[in-house]
Amino acid sequence: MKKFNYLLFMFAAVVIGFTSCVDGNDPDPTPVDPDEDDVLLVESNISSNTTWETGKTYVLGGRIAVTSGNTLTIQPGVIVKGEVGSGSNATALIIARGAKLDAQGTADSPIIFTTVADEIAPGEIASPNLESDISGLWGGLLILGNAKASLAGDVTETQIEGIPPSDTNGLYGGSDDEDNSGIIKYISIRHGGANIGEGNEINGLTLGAVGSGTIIENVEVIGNQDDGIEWFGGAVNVKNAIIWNAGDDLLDTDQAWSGTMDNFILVAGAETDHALEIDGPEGSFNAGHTLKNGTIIGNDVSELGDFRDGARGTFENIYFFNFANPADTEGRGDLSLSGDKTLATFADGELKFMNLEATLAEGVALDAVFKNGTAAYATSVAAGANTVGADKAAFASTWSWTSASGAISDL
Amino acid sequence: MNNQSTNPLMKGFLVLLLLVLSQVFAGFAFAQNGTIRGTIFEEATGEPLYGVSVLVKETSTGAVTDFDGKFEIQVAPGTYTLQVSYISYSSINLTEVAVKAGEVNVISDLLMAEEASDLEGVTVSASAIRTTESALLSVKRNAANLIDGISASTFRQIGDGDAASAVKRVTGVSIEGGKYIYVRGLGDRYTKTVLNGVDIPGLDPDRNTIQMDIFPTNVIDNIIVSKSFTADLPADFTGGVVDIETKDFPEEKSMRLSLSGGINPSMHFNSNFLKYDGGNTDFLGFDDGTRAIPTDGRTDIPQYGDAVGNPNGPKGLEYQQILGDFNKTLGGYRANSLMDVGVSFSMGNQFARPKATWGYNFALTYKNETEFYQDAEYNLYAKPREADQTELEPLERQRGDFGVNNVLLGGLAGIALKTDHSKFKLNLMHLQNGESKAGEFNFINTNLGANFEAKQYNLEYSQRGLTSILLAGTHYLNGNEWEINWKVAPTRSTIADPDIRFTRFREPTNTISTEVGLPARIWRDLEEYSIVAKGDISKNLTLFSRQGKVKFGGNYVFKQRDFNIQSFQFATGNTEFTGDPNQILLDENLFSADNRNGVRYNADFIPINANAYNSIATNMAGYASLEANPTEKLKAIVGLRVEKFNQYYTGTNQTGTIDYDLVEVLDDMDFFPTVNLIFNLKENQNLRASASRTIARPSFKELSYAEILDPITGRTFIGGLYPETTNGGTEVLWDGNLVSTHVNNFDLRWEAFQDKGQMLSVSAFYKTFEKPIEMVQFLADPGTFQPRNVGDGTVAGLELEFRRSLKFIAPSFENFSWNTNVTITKSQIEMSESEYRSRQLSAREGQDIENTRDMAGQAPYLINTGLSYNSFTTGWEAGVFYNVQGSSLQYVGFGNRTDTYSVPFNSLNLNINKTFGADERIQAGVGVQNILNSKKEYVYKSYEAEDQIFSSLSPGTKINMRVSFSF
Repeated sequence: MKKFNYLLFMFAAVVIGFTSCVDGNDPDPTPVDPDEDDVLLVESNISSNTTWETGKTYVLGGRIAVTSGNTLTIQPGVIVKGEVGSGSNATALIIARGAKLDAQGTADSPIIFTTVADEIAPGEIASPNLESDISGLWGGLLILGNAKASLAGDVTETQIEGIPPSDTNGLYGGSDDEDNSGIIKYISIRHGGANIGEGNEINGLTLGAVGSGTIIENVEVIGNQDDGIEWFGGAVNVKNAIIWNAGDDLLDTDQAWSGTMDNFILVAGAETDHALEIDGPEGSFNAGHTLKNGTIIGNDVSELGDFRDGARGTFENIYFFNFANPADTEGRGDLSLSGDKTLATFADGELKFMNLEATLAEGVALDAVFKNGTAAYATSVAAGANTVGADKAAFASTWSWTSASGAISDL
Repeated sequence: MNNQSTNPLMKGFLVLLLLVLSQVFAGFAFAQNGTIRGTIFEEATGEPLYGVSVLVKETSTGAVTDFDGKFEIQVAPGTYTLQVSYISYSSINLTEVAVKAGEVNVISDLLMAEEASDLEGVTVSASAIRTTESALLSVKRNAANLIDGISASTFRQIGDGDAASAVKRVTGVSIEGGKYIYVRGLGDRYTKTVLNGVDIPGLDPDRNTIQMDIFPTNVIDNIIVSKSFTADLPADFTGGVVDIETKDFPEEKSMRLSLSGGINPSMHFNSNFLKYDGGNTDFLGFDDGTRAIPTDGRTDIPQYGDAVGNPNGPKGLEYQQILGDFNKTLGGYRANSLMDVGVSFSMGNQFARPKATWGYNFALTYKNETEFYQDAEYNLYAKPREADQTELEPLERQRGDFGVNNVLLGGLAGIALKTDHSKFKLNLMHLQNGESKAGEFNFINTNLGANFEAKQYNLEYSQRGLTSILLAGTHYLNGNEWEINWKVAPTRSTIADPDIRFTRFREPTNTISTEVGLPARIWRDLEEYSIVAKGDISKNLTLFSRQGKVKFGGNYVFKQRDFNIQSFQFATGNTEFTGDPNQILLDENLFSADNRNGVRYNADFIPINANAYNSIATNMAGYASLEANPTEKLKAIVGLRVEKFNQYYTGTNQTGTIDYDLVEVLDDMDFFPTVNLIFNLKENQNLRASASRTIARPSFKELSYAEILDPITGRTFIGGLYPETTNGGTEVLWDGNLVSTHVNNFDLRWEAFQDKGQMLSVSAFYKTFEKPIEMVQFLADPGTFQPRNVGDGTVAGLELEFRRSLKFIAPSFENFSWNTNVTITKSQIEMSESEYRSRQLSAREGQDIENTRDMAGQAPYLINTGLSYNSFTTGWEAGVFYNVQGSSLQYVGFGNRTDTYSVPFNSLNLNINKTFGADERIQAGVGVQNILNSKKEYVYKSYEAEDQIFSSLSPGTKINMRVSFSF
């Protein structure tokens, strides 16, 4: 029967072909009929100034970009949920170059980005049905700007990872280090990190060439399949960040980010690779960044940090604890400088460490953890006896699920 | 995913087999007399002569040739002399024609020359004209256009088992990757493959031509490569059009069984061989459903996000059901490898009946080959970021073993019918090929932002099927004055890659994460139908008081392709592994109510699948061509072809904002003029000149919004309809308007033919390309490639070919001949703006960047040379053949990625054949392939840097044996 259908089909096709008038159609728009009045489905790019209102939940029906010249304002308490999707169908919110995000939550009413699988309702901080290590259910929040980035081949702009190359809203990079992508305060991003392919994934918060005119304070990323926060160049400063249960790295910096991260708590999960993955520039433009005043809680499978490919910057007042003994775990639980280029930037003083402290496992020597000469800048302290680290007061349980869950109650 | 097409076809073959067998046995019934058959050609034109009288001198019985120049005479056993005569032609006396009871003696090619004087007729011994290669040479000498080719007798001599290995003996032809044909070094974009003169769908979405390795030589009569355009050929070729002619009307009853085997010491009987268990029909070249997709291809299946909140709800349970149904094998195992084996059978006969002559042909072939590559390498190197550093840096290094099992099953059945004025032919063919691969690699990633070592497991299966039906007719009116040819050919071709599996564990921790890449499963399907209808009419006429011919005709092609990829990634959550890939999908690791952060699938093609498209192309063509001899020494063929080509595309872009349903993406109406001139300088010496215009059109996939990620290489293909801009959208790098390439071709050739197939020719060619299409990387994403029109290009080349008997050294070397062909080309293309800019940005200190470069794929030189020995009296044939192709640009570099070039592969093969027994009933042969043990390598090249390996494979040296029996 199938064969016969083929024949019929071929006959029909030939007729179509001969008449030579195969016509196109117009795609018909799918009408949106959300279940509830306060749950709104967003299905197309935001190309005019738009406000998302307190008390409502907005569902990202796909990869939604705020396009250049437009501002998306998100009021406190809004919940944004990404639809189910993976690979190039991962849902995400992109603030494209030239667009702004004005997402100012408050310490009592944060803005939460999560998945539609999360039954969280406005007013709640913890998910009623998902554990904090469940990841990969949607993409993430990407903010892209016009600041400088050090890119391979010395191009001035490139496509951000995790976004298919045909989507031009995924481009980042330029020459304006003072670029302004808006104000982001008190936001919590959860269960994201869907990836396209190897090394091509969406981070909880992706900052691509974001300029220093942008304000980012009090951000939380939980249960992301890839990195918690990843910077790709740019000059933006970030204050008060907390990251829990990243599937890859908690913090990742690339392409000569030149800003400062001040006051952060990183909590490794059972799948976390590095607490800090610090990469060097990829093109000929060089710059370094500063990470200071941080507390990092380890896990048996995680490393303190890996500094790669000519990494540059200053790392000071950071306290590490709860990592494994590197000798027992084939190099887990250490802080290392990878490759000759990084050893060179370290020797030149372009990569600096100051006031690192660590509570080490029983019988572990400082230089077995802080490798390649970095032990000179580190001290071993008893549990709780640290003199450097994050100011926990910035991470109140009224907005941070990590804090509310008790995961940082030891600090 | 299963292939259902083979079964009805097999049934068809069985019916035919019965029919044929009954005919064979019927044939024994009247076997007292013997038969003489032959074909007579006009020497000057190479065309068959109609109405020639052939008389058996001793019995005074005889026959007259038909429109094909063929005759048949029944006589009692004995040895005879044939007298061949025709008005105004020199008669031929053919002596020593032996006839045996119940057998057919075939006189393949008798050439009759026009009578120049009152000389006596020519007398020649029948045994002196036995090789059929000279027939091809004769066609070549007299053809209107530049052609080269290879025929069945040469396949046998060289011992080539498939069309891919056979066709590379032809001047200017090379084969890439064992499958794809290049003519004059021009890539497959500029080469066209046709089967019996009609278009066939390709079997690879990334290519224009068909994979030549699926045609076993025992179904092929000859392969003709036309390098210059005449109006009756399709216009979409530049380098050449390759016509595979399947066997047609057998001259004599033949039944042949061949057995072959091959042993490669580095690959066979190796206990380290890698394989994985497939289905029960793998040995027949198709999957039995073992690798079927557990979702049946549905696109409404639940996703992890639908299941995680409520694992025991209806969606959650369905999700778990599907998850559990994925085949759990992700890694291969080591086992002993077997040698290559092959068997083929062919038979054919013809029967003269009072009103018509019937002929049939049947061939069946089976090959099962095993390859095992140890220490195979696939690497990624890049330029360092500092412009004063030149040595390339490794980004990714992959090294390991992989095993391949390749099965080819092919069948051809044909019947032909010839009446006084007509010939009909019906041909059915099915080729089925299945290739199973298992690999294990060590992977080292030092790419920016990643730094790890991993163990990688690949399992792949690819099956291809081609079914073709050809119905053709030839009619002659008014004697041979009018000739009408028509063909109708529907074809179906399929390619399926069911369940490509990819897994990588990070070492030494045996973890799986997004950084090392999640386990992936891919199902890829392509199905293409085409139907071609073709009619040609030619009329002989007298022009300038000489013989001429006018030819006109039309051609209609309809093609429809359906392409789809569904890919899944498996996130592993917090599951712990031992490093055994076959444990990943164990039930206890899978997502469930008790294990919500377990191993789960993500269906990447839901809701939008930019990997799928459906396209239709139609091509209506008409032509007129005139062949005339304006002077005695000049033959001219002038023609004009017109083609109206339309292409329609159904598909969506990745964001779903563009959704096309059969939207017209190409509407070309082009005229293709051609002039071919042949000056007959002196007897057996021609000077040819030709000029023509041809076209290269974008493929279905290229004219689309498809966005296809290859998870194995990490490269993304983007259809040519997407634009790319830079500088914040102010500068357009590519406007998304992909158009056809127009090509102007100029050829000049001097050729001289001598006796016994000796010849010498020198050719020069020059081609200009308007807006050639090349794969260009995205400026914003170096891992992404898109077909774009780039700046204009040119290719210039020289070809030398000779076929020489070594008799000139000493008469005793009469049976030795030396065949050589050499092609040298120089190509140049103007880079796209984005490529030029990127090369400048990543230039090394002191490096000059020009805005031109070699055309991708164009080899600078190609050499084929061989020494063969052939003695009909002793039955020995032997040959040693050498083939090499110059280093050519394979992948165009971009950004910090540098150009990739092929490394010349020095191929030296030896073959020895011996025929035994009366009537050459038994033939045995032995061959050695790749005597030099060369490696197949591609390398990264960069300014003042040491070459680094892109890929490296060791095919080893293989010894082939074969024996065949004729019945």
